[in-house]
Amino acid sequence: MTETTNIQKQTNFDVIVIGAGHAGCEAALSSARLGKKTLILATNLDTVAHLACNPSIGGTAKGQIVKEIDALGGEMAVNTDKSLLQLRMLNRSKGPAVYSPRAQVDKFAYHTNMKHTLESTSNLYLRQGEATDIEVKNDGYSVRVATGLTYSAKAVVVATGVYLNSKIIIGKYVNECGPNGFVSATKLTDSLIGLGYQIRRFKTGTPARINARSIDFKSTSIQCGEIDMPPFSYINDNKNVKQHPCYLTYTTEATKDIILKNKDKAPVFTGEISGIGPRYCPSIEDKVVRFSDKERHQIFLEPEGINTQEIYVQGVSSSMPADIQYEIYRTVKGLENVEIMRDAYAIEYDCIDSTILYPSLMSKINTGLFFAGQINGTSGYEEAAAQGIMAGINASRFIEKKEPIVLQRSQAYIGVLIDDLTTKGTNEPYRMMTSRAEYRLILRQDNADLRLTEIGKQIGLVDDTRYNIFCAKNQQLKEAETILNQILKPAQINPVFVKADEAEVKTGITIKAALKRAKITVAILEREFGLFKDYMPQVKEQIEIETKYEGYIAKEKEKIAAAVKTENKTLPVELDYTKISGLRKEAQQKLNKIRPLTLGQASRISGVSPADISVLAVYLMGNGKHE
Amino acid sequence: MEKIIALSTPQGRGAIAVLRFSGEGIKEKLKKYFSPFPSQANQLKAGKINLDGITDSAMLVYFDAPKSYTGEEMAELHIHGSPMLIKTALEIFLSDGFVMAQNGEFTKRAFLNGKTDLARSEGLIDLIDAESQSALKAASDLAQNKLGKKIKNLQSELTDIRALIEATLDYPEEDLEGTQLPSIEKKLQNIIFELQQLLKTASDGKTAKYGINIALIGNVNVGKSSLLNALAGFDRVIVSAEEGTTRDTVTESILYKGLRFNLTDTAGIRETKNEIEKIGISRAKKASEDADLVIYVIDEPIIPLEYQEIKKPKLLVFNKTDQLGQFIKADVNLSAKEGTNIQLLKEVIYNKFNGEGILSADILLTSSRHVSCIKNAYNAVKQANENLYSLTMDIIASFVNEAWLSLGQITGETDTQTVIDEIFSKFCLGK
Repeated sequence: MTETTNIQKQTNFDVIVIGAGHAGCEAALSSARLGKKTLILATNLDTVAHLACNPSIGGTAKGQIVKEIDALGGEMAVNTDKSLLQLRMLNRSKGPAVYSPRAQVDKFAYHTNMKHTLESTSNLYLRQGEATDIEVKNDGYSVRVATGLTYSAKAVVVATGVYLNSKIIIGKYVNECGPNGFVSATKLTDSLIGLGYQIRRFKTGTPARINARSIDFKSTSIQCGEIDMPPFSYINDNKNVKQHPCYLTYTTEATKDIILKNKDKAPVFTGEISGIGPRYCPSIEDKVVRFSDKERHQIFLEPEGINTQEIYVQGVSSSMPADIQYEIYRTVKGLENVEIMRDAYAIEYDCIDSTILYPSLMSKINTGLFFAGQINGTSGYEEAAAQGIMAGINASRFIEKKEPIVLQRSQAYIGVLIDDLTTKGTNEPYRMMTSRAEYRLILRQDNADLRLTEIGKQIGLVDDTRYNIFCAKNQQLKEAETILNQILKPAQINPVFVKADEAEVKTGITIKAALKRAKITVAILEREFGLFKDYMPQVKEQIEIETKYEGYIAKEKEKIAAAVKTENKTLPVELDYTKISGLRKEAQQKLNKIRPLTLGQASRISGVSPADISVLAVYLMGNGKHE
Repeated sequence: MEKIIALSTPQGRGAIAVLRFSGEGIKEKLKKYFSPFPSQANQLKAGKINLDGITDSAMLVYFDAPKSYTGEEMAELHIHGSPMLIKTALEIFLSDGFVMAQNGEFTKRAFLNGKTDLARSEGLIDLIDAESQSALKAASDLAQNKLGKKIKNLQSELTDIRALIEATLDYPEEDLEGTQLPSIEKKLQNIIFELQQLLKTASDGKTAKYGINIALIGNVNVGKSSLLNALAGFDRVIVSAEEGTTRDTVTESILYKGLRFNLTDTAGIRETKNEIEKIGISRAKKASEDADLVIYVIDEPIIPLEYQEIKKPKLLVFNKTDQLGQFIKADVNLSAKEGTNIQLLKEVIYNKFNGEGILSADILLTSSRHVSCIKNAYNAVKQANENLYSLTMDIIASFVNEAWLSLGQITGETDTQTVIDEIFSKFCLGK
């Protein structure tokens, strides 16, 4: 082998992923696992899968997303299980549509485990280097890094997170760096502007990290995990992990006083910070000023890892000067003698307007250039990872000249997320919430595998192990259906009803009908009749939810069926909407900007009315261009 | 796809009205209402329509999928153009699983079902445009009036409740002072009450828009036709001393202080062997069943047994005071022939139907689409309230959401972002 071919081997790729955060890791892994020679670049390899804020994965809507990534064959859930400190199911009392798994993880283990996975994945090349230029070539792109090396690829995924021209702000102190003091990427923004992208400035923030030995845990309350919960990934069975607690405490009246007294020093109020911050993630100064009648705010103390004393203080994100931060933190119950190790800070960064992307996450102005994660205006590890896996999949399919995979709003939170981003865009960092999903009862954490494994299999990311587990679950569910339709005689079921304080029956009823009763559970049926005894716990959960909520689930399914034709009707990409006379001006402009791929997507653009959709339908009908 | 229905002839009085249907399963549904049902597609057949007991002649044609305009099962029902009949028909179909078609929806469906053989029609676009203009105007009229404001208020109260619930669902780790169930319950009950009040105005709205349907009933030759003529102010009906002159029902509308009286003269009720008169008499009975008010005319000072059996708003009118004097037990004593006390009768009717109140009312529901949206909202809120303490909050949220969307179909506000904005303006959330 000659010297040149060896160098070419190191510089020519199918896909280059810029950034190794949560979006970049999923993008690179899915691309490599689909057989594409993939390069993943990080400004610093110690930032791979860095949890820059909470040491936790999941939560409402986010937990569902992680399960969906898992079902498609992604890495986030697996890596979470490997790095687990604690697992809980949020919203237990509020109904299955909003059950949401949330994990505390060891942030150092999370990084190391993910990095190790990247390193040991074939076709995948992990490389330190700050990307400075993306250049359009005949057959793809070249990406130059700061040291001067140039790499080429047929497709590129930009997943720079919060690193573009980022600066952190602590009072008057401003440092042009990324999270946690990591270097920021200062050149790539210009390259993107040169390619035609409009840059926006968003901001977010993180609380201080404190030393556990300085906390008076006696004046806090302990928060333990759930021991019987199934792990995050559908393929894992590691039930008996040692779990570590979190602690709950509160701000006091004094917290408010100190913040109000020092309001003039807060960069959010002095104008030091200009970026648009998320309303759902306010700093403590924001909270106190905007919700001044609230007496106290809840604070969670979360361990950053096993081999460290550092504690994350959820609820006290701030950009106040470092000395004021001390004063504020000391007013929190149990933190009277707090030892701050890392200051809280606000961070500002560059991102793009996500409506410039197709629902495949490929740019409308650069074929083969994909964007994923916080650069698209989202917030959160899970939202980033979700875009990452889809961008990786679609970059790979782009190279193979296959149709992109676009998940529907009725299929996954990932579908809701990407549809919102590419159809409506966002004016603040976008966080997924269950209330954004119109089919919340269908998009549950317990059935993400049933919704998406088959799709992951077709894509090629679901391996045999995962598929076999999925098939076994399906098999049990099928058997369960037969069992549920069997009849119980009054003599059999009435004693059970009496015991559970349910009304007795005079004629036989199906097991399903019995289970629909509020106080009858699968556990009771198992205990009394030995039903579903050897079934997987996940299957039992499914049976219970699908039976008890059958009517409501059916109603949502009807709505999905009613919308399906509009969703599936495709629109030609090159259509000039200003030429369609019946459309209102506003609709023409919006449609020309967004270039929706389906009539369904068009109908969700704000400013496009049902009448516009009908006009569009008639126009297309006449032109016969719609298939 | 939902089963949709629309009135495809212009609103208002016409000789014939055509109702159009599209969607899977409409044929089966319509079989309940129309017989004999056409044995073949594409053939317009005469028959009888039965709408909750009201029967009338009608014609129906159906089309099989995909050989129809929309590509779905379709039907057209031709009925008499009486506004009351149209309204009744729409109400019955809407409560039986049909929904009102949106502007251009038939055309949209045609497109969705790939009916590409149809030539592109500018005319169609113009039509949709016109419809959407008039819908826009209707919407802006609505926004101006008190009904529109009322509905907007109710929707924003529902937004409040949604924000309360959604905040606890999306931010369980936050300290949101419990789920505030009692406060949600109070709000829901208030909305239920308001929606109930609104629905009550639907019958007043009907009166305002379509008038009061009044049947003149009585034995033969008591002077019902003379009374109708006297009320109308001209000779609408042939009168004669011969018993049984009026053999069919005759309808005439008059305006009194802005309120419409739809008067129906009927054949006198008596035992008869004359076939035509028999049909007339049975129509008279029918007319009295369909009426909002029965005016029972007598010319003897006796309260007839039949009058006592009438179970709806009624007036006993003693005619021929010029010959027979007064009957103290009658509601109105008058002489149709002389024109005495005719005005008094009109005033009595007007007051009986709260004419003053109706014509000065702030809010009246007059559109059956609005009534159906409000009914849906009402049912959903009721479900939320009844199950507040027994079902999980995710389901309660879906009821509240459904109600919110139903009202949104009137106000045009259906974007979830409103609720999310409300959550963040109300609650302190996040890290």
